[in-house]
Amino acid sequence: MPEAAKSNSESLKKLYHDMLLIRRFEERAGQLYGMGLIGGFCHLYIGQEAVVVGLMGAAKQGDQQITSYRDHGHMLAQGLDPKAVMAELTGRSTGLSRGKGGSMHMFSSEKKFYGGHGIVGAQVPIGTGLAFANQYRGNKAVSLTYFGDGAANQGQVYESFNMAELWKLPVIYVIENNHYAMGTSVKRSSAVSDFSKRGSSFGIPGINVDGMDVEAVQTAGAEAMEYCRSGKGPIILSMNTYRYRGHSMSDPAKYRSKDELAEYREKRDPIENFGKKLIDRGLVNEQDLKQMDAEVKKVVVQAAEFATESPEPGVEELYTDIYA
Amino acid sequence: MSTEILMPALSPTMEEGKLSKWLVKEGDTVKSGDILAEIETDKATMEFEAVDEGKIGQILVAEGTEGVKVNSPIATLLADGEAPGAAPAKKAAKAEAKSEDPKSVADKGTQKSETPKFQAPSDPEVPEGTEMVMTTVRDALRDAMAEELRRDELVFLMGEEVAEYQGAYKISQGLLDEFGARRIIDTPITEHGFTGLAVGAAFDGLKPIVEFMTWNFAMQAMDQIINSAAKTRYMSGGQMTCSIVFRGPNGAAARVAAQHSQDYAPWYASVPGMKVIAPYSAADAKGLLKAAIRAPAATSPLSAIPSPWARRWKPPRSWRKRASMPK
Repeated sequence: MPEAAKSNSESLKKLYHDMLLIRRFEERAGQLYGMGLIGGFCHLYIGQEAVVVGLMGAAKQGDQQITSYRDHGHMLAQGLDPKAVMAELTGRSTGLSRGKGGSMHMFSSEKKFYGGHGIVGAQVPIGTGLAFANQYRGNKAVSLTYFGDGAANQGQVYESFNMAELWKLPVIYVIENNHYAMGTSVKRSSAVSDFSKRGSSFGIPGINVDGMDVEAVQTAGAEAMEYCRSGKGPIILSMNTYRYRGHSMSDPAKYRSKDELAEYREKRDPIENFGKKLIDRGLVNEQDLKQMDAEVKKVVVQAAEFATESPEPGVEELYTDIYA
Repeated sequence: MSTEILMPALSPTMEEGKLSKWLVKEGDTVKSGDILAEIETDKATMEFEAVDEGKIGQILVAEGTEGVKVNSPIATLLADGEAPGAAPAKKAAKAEAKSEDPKSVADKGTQKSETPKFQAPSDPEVPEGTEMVMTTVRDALRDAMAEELRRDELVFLMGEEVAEYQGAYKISQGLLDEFGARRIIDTPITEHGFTGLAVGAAFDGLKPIVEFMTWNFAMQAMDQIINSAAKTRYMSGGQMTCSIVFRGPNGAAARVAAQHSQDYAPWYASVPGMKVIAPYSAADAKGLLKAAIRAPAATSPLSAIPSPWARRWKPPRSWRKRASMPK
């Protein structure tokens, strides 16, 4: 196989691997939650894996990322250690935030991941500020600011859109439309349900993307990043995706039909479909994928062990990291 | 009958001003909307328009006069056919007498009530015999920001009217000229949005100063101040630092009703991760604002009510030296 094709094949396999890692990690997290080892809120990313993995496949080093509370997948896609992510979920001192942030608040200054925010929509002006910092410093980095269809109705989102376009800030607004703002469907909450149009009154272009297709996401991501890096200002990527689980662990998701969920799981699953594509193109065989799954499961089991065996933070931690 | 033209209050905090320049002379005919004079308030030089038609009779206050009290007569306006130099209207005497009234009433009482005077305690760190210079709180705040903007490229100022308008309360006067539009940034009127934006810039290592026109409007941005700026350091286990300063006038102001007359200090002071500063004197305002800008955590200096800004204070002459604190 020629070098270029080999490298391409490796990067495609990495996309598959990263989506699978998120899927298996989240399944395990759900299990630990059920065992009472994870407390508080826990929002799983299962079903939406192609969005963050596809975009990371297009991002460059130095690009920043910020999202809401459904953030485990974003951490893993950054290449952060699954052990440190899982240990944060279980509130241990070895977690990314030393057990003080939990599921919704994780950060990595090294990887330029700015959280993990628990207030719906608050990450949008902050992500716009990251782009402001890029422009202020004159670097070519882009801020990937993720939010959901629910947050897309927050006022501060539009305040951000206005400033981002006014000042031509390099920010990609990634709207992860999983069709439900907690339990309220887009139909019941949004006057205009085509989220790619949400920037139109500010002159911000938007692209509709099949968020269940990792390659489509990567292609759209690369296009958007090129747009931002060339100084044209912000752009919106509206990701059509779906979450398989409830909003959080305590949500039985009675507001949607089983048929609707089955439609996505059986026909549009991002991992299943992409695996088939890789086999069809002759890049892998069934056995390779099974082996990859076994390796990923092993990593996740080790993460869970680490996260349950690590010590909890000491009481004195209540008084640290408050004032610098 | 001639009427009096009175010294106008051209800002909510103005008590007196300078009559910089007369644009009319005695005998000139004026109609409503004509510019009569230029008057310097505590914030700016403003044009003063005629309200009524007529002829300028006497100019009672010469141009260049400072400290002209609001509502004192500065000229007379003659009605049609009236001769110049006619006796000033009796109204003035009446008004004066009226203003005497409460006093005379008070005199009838057993004791004369006196307005309490604030005496700033002397700074124990200023050595005895230090020579002091006079400055206003307004200039002290501006100088603090200018010095820190010069010192650190990462510091920038953002807010409504901070740049081209030179500050809604003229705190940022001159900063745009010196530092340019990249670092002195006018924002749209979107407190929630630009506060969150500044917090994001601070997470990335910049050092924003966010000016709120008054703290009352920061209520729109309270979520970003508390949930994002103050708490993220703790929730990230110390990974994220938010070196940001929110500043603006706070507290009761004159005759602006309940929405514009709140004291936010105790609200914010009850939030861990946030330092709240309420300076009063010019020396405190300058030193504490400089310290706040250099602090690696979220701070919110709440300035006192607008009126003391224009008052003069005496910080030490050696201020600049003292202000450059050890690193």
